[in-house]
Amino acid sequence: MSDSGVFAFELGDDLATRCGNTLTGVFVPGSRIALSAYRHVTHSSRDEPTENAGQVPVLIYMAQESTLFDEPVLRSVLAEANATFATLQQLGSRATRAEYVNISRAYRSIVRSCLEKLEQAKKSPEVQTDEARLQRLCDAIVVFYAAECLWHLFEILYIQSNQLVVPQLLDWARFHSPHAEDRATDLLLMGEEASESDDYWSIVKSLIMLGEIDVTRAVLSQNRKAGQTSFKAAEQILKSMPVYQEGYALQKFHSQWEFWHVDTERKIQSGLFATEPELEQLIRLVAGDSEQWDAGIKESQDFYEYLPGYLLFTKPTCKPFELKIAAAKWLNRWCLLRPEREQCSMNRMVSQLMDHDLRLFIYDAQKLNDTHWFSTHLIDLIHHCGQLKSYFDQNNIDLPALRHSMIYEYGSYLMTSHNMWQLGIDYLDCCKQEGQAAIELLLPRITLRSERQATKLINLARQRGLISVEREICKVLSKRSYDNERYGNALEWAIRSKDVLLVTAVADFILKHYSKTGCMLCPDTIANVGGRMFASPRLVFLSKYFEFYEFYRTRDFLSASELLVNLLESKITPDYFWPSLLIDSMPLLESKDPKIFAKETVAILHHIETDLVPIIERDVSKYGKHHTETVFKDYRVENVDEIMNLLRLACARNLARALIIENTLPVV
Amino acid sequence: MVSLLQEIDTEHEDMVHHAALDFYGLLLATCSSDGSVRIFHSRKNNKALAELKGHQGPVWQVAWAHPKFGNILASCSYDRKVIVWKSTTPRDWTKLYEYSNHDSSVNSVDFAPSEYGLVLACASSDGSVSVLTCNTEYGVWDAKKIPNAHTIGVNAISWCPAQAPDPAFDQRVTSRSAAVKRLVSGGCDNLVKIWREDNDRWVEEHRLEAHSDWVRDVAWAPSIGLPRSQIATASQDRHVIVWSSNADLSEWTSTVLHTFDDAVWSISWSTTGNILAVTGGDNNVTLWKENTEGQWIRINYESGTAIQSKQPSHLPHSHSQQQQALQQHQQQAPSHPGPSSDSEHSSNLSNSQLSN
Repeated sequence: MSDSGVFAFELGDDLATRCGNTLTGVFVPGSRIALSAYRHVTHSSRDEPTENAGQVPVLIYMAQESTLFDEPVLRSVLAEANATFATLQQLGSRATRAEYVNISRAYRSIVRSCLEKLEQAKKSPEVQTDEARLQRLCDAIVVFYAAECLWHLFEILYIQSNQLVVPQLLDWARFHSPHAEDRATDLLLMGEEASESDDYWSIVKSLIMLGEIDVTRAVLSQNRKAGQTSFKAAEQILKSMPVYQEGYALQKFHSQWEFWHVDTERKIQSGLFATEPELEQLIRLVAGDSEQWDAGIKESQDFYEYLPGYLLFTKPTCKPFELKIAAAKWLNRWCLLRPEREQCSMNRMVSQLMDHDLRLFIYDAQKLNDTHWFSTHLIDLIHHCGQLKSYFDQNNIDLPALRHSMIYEYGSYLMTSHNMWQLGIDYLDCCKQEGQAAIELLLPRITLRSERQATKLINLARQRGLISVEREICKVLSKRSYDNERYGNALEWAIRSKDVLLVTAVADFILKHYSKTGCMLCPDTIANVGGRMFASPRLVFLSKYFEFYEFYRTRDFLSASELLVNLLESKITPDYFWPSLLIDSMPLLESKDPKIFAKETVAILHHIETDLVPIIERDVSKYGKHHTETVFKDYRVENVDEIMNLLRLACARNLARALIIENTLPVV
Repeated sequence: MVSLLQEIDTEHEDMVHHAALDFYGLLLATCSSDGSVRIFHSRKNNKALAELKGHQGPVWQVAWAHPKFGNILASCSYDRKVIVWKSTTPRDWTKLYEYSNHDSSVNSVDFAPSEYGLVLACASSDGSVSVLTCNTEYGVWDAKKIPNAHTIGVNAISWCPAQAPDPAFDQRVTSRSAAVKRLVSGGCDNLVKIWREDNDRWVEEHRLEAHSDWVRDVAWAPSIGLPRSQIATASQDRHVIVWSSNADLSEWTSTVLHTFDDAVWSISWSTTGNILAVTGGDNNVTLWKENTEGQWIRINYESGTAIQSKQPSHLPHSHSQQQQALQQHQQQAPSHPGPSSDSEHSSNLSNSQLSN
């Protein structure tokens, strides 16, 4: 059962509608939810197939909140808004009003640019043939058109906050009702013939109702009857209309305007325009005649379309608090004259702005189908410019908390979108502890497609002091490289992760591989470990052993011998490597020219008896002889017993030679 | 507005009991009454990459381990077994470990936060909870039991996030000490219990009583940097309760999120823990979020239109009731109640065409 009026996403899964079943949903990474048929089970449920088994397909549905931003054309809106958002955070709360106006215009410019791109994209051949995509673009145009229109109005009324709003409202209304002006351009190009067009007077009246005085005069001046008395009088009225400029003495302007207004009405009543009914209707509009304006309202598309024009001809010095009353009256009038027109959300939101009902406006703004792009950025701007603080305080709205909540959600949404996550971080960075925690939760979940991207993620984590995230990513990369048999890479990432166990595991693999095959994996990586070898004792051993390996390979046998003996003494030799390490001493022990001295030879014998033998004995008793034969072997010999016998013999021989040489006095 | 991204035919022969995506959202695992677990690419409409057979009964739940341990998946079943699977490629899966020490159905599995290593908790109808720890260096598993965690049976289990909220809000400490391991369980004794590991033993730290019928699901919310923890619990008493604690988890208070029309079977937190999905016997999945005043609100996407993606079939001897998923209402901050009737659609916005 659902609340009335609550929209629901409906799904008709056959299996879920069967008796005893229901639907279940689980959140999965990426802000998606997996839906499937569900049946409750208990410990007493019988272990047997249900009656539906094998009869109905078992489906899983992945659902997600719809978003316009899956459309590539719209990505630029996100990126550019992100840059403007960052600029605003830099400005903070102590910038000048002019700076906030610039920010507001930057946002609006982004949207207008986007609308142009959408219009172009809509006309492209591939979109025309893709019905679903065409619909998405049309939806996006509707949404962003509304966003720009509302933002523009908000800027006029609440950010610029000029005392006289009519001139700006006229600009706003004209921009959003471009038809008349476009058509006027056509008429002007037609010259004298324009007056013969069917819509000539209709257009001219629209121009007046939009306050386009100059354009109207230009169109009328081309009329064939422009030289007649009535047209000259009309031109004079329009030309002499007082226009308020900021800084004028208000009282003086009002007197001038009142005189002009009375004079215009007097001319109408004198019958000056009687011979030209259309022209008279036009001048009646200029005089604010109710009957004529009512006729105009009936032709309008939106309630706000001609309101600024009406104010221009009836109350040109209207102030914001007066606009509230005028707008309410106008809306009532419009509704009476246009009863068939539903109150669309645009009309309602414009009305809310003019009524100073920002609480409702913000509520409705969140219902635009734009993933809260508009409401989030607007509320952030409101928060920074601070001019509405008293309004929010009076209405018990915690503006900082509201802003924080919206930015947090917007940033979280971006971070869970696989193409836009980099933008999301900038928003979450503004959300204090919660934002930091969200980044910590979401950053590791960004799919690692390449090492370049991983490096980017790691840098972002490091910048924010998210040590655990950085290490977690390194561990995943190490594990992945390991599974792909790229062991040098695995070792590098393991070292960066500072996970002793992981470094040990990779080093173990390399050492075991060597003792099985005699091949040293990733020599370049090991050679460059350097001081980082102390990440793990096993890595120290691997690095030192590699050093020995290199000495031996380059036939520096004395250095190799010295290092080998050091390794034997080091107590960091892994159990499984003792046979290999000791076997490495064989060639040195067998050399005719002793490379290992008597003392060191005794040490080797000692290690055979005190290290290798006990290890083998423990292993045999614990796991059995077969395990020992498998684990403790080297590519050079078949079994460990043979190793020990050979080693003992080699040591004995070397010891004999070494003792003789070392104890022979040099011949004088 | 919600849209359907994908429809996956699992090719299971019987009910699917759980579906889980891996950490990156790339692989989907499903488990079924047909005794098998299947693995899919989550973004392609392909056939299953793998089918894992090892259980001899319905498989109730699957859980993915953190990718730093490789591709590891756990499954639990009516056959009393917990199996941990491992793969080198998404198509090749082998058993890593099998645990058979429960005396009855295993209903829930959950991997611990990866900071603790590879650790898995299992909840069973025998009334006990097992915590399995893998020594990844030697590949040896160790099991500890919490016997008699809940009488009659344990239905669900969920781990506490590893990084407990730090009262100092210092997010830049170089070496954070690992928090104490905690988990929450819900069972057939109507209780929710919080367990803490104490010197190699698990002890009951808190007993949360507010439900009047069996607790069906518990979910510990992800930590979002606030000095508190939250746990959601779902019960056959038709309530979902959100429990909130202070920073040191010493006190818990309950808030009834909503009373539903039917028993509530499962709950699921979003990644950042700010949205809760609730599933009940009423054929609805609803989404809920807490507003800035601490009230839980059902999310409603009013800007879009309802989408009928598929017609339910009308079969004899079966209910063909409509299913309405993801009913959502979102009220951001104004405490003003939303309009009671709102018939507008986005398409009513006018002046949508720019001429130049």
